[in-house]
Amino acid sequence: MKKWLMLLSVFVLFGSNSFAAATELTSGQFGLVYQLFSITIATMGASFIFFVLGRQSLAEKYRPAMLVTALVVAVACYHYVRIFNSWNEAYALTNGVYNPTGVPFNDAYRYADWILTVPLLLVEAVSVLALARNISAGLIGRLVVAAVVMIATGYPGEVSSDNTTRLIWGTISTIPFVYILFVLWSELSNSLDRQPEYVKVLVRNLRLLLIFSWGFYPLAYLLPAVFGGLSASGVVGLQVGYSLADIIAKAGFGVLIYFIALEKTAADKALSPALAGD
Amino acid sequence: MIELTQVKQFVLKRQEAAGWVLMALVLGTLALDAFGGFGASPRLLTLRAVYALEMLLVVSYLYTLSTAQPKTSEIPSS
Repeated sequence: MKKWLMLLSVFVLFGSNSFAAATELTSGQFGLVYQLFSITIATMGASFIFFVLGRQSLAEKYRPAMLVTALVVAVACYHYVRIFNSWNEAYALTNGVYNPTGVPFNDAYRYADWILTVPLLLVEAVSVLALARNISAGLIGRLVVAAVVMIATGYPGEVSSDNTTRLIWGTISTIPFVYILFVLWSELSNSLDRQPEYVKVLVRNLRLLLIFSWGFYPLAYLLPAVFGGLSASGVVGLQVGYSLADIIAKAGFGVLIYFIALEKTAADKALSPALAGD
Repeated sequence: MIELTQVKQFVLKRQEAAGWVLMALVLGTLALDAFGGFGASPRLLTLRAVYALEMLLVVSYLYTLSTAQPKTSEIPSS
């Protein structure tokens, strides 16, 4: 309990930083982010409906995990609406270019979102795999702690316009990031032998999707450093990268979790119809 | 005084209902935020603290379920 309270305090303290600076954007740059935010909102909203309705075709024991998946995309959908509104308020079209209005673009919603959704995504993956109890218990604790540390240490660098600060916090944040990927990859690999045949393929795909989608985040994080701070290209690259990563890591990951649960439901029914639920 | 094991048993008996309650709690937080209930601070401190607590609640919920359910779909490796 003390560990949790300490992590919570660290997160709240890190939250006292400022937020992303704005810069002049071309019409194409502004429009790209605008459209991508719209697509992300639509994807998350549609995914929510799919997961809520889709859980009825799953065995009872997999439904709570699917409910949490629905919750994750609902939360993401709401935050993208807030980010989208903030983006619109932060820029105004004058003489063919989008200039900052003086209203800051509030990227803090992204990090607020991640503190709630990222640990849940990791836990639901473990939950739906139905690993042995002792493995699940240890795994959930380690992944959640690592996820909170990763997000909390990433934020100070994210909101800094100084490249050195960004790289230092980015490097610190990468340590729990790599740890999460390593633990999930190895545990998912270890679980392959215990899965039904069809589920094996899906779990392999889940591993690849995990690497692919999570790989987007550090790349997007580094873009402002590559483009010389929070320049127009840096800001746009960051928002495009994070939005794409969120679509894949939340909606895409959820769909794969759904199909794993669907296959396991079928396998459970074959083994024991009474335990598989309705 | 309600003990932790009693809460755990209650959640295990009503898994889906408990999930819906948690969903309502989180969606309620979002609604409160949408109507300015957490203030207009750009730092979102209160919202972050509430989210962190809710994340712990939902993680505890999934933890309880995944460490208690029967593993019928696990096939022996041999």
